[in-house]
Amino acid sequence: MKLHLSEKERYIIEHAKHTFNYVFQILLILFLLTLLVQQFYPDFVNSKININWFMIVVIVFGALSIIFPVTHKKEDKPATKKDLFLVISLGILGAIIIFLKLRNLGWISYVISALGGLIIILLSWMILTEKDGEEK
Amino acid sequence: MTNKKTPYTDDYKERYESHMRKKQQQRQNPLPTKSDAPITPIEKVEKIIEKEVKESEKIIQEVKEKMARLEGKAVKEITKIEEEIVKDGKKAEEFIINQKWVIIGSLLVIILIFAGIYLFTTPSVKAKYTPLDVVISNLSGMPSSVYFDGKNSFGLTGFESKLTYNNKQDRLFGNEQYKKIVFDEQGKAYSVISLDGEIRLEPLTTNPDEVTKIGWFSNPSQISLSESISWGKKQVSSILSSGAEVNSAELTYSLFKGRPYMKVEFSASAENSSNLGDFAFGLVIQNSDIYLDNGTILRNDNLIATLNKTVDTVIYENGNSSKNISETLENAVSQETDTSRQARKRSGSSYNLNPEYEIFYNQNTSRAIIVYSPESARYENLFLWNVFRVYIPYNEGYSPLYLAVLDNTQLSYDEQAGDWRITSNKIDEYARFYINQIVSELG
Repeated sequence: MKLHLSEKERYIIEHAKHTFNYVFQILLILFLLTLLVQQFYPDFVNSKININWFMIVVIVFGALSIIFPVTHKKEDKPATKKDLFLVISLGILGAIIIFLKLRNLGWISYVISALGGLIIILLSWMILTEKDGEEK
Repeated sequence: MTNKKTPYTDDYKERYESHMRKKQQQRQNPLPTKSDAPITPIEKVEKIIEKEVKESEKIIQEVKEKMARLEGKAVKEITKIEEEIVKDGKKAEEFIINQKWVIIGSLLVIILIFAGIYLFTTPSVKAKYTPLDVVISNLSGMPSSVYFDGKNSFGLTGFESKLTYNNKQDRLFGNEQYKKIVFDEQGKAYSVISLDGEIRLEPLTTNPDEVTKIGWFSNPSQISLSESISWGKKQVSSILSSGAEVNSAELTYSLFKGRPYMKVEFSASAENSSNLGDFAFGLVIQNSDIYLDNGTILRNDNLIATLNKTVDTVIYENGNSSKNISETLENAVSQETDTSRQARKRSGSSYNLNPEYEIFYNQNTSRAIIVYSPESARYENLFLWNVFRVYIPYNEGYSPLYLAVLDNTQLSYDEQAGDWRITSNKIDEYARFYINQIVSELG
């Protein structure tokens, strides 16, 4: 069923779609950062914000983003050295965070951290390069 | 010359004309071909097949023509739709040009979301006042926990605090779990106390209420809590009322934002307030040595050892003790306390001193707790229980108790100054000087 909307209505709806999408992206990043901080400072985070309600809001905006999707232009950029550097840095950061959380376990924490970092690097690189492959 | 009509001339002419006529007829009506001749069955089938092939070819041709016509139409429609899509796409592209509005709108929505979560939801953990906070409760024993930087540091309880009235000293607030009453098969009553090494039973010889309800106040319903927070200051109070002899009492904690020290005040009223005697603030501080103003260090020798046996249930009667208890009594005791737990042996020194102040110092955490009262009579230090009491005499009221908590602290005694030098990331001063600063600021 096609709704016949006026130009103004379509203008508002398109803006609303982009807003939902943008809000969801920002909220998701903030939520994940909050979860990360909560792992190390649980009392501080739990005393400032109710993380359960935060999660519900993120899910709501995620659903809105899916129901009202925005068409994005495909970027045909191949992976560059900058991307590789970013991926490796994030992998190392991830390994450090995992180690900080698991250091009480002894020697196995080193193994888990290293494997975790490696998985982050490999998966990220695969996703980056896989995009280029599909376009070819 | 003879005019001889050859017999062939007229005949020939007739025959010729007849031949020509025949030929013409033949042309018009060709002579029967071989196919007109009677046909065989195979030839019949071949003919039928040929006919059907021709018909099929005709149909195929018609279908091709139709398809061509339809294709033409479909192509036109597809082109139309594509044009519409392109148009819509172009229109959509025109809509996202205003990125500024999208970003501003998104930020506004995010601000509203966070405001909504902050205003309309409660965090799962109550934020602690910093750096010091006190959490009081109206549970039996009237415990209160002192938090430093959000972590539980030590406690001040109504159960360990003592008040003297009419020359009788008792705990400020009793603990209902401290003593229980059980009955044997003959209906005889015994009081039950669960100690480290034994469960002690004693025949009940007085009013049961007097046995179980120890302390000037013993009912949690007698406790009311109040809290007030103003800019830079927080005050929490445990108010006791409806006491039998001591009518009412109040413990008030005053905390100041950003200050690692606090003031604790006690007041009481009775029928005859002049009969009020000493009040002891009961502190529970774990794993700390005591540094006295004269440079002496009292080491914490508290030790709780778990013995390799379950706790004994012992009856004390008429000056004798006995482990022979009836099954009924044993069952009754097990309902009130855990009779299968391991026995423990506790040890620790006790000191009754009168220093100017005491500093409780934890070697592991480098945390120092300074305890001071301007009119303290004595300090009772019980490492056996890790309970420390500061006795304040009654003088138309009780002088307050000042508590300061300092993290990452080093203590060094200066013989010349006769005082402890406190060095932390917050201060680098002598203890007396620091205490005077606190008293003059808090009043």
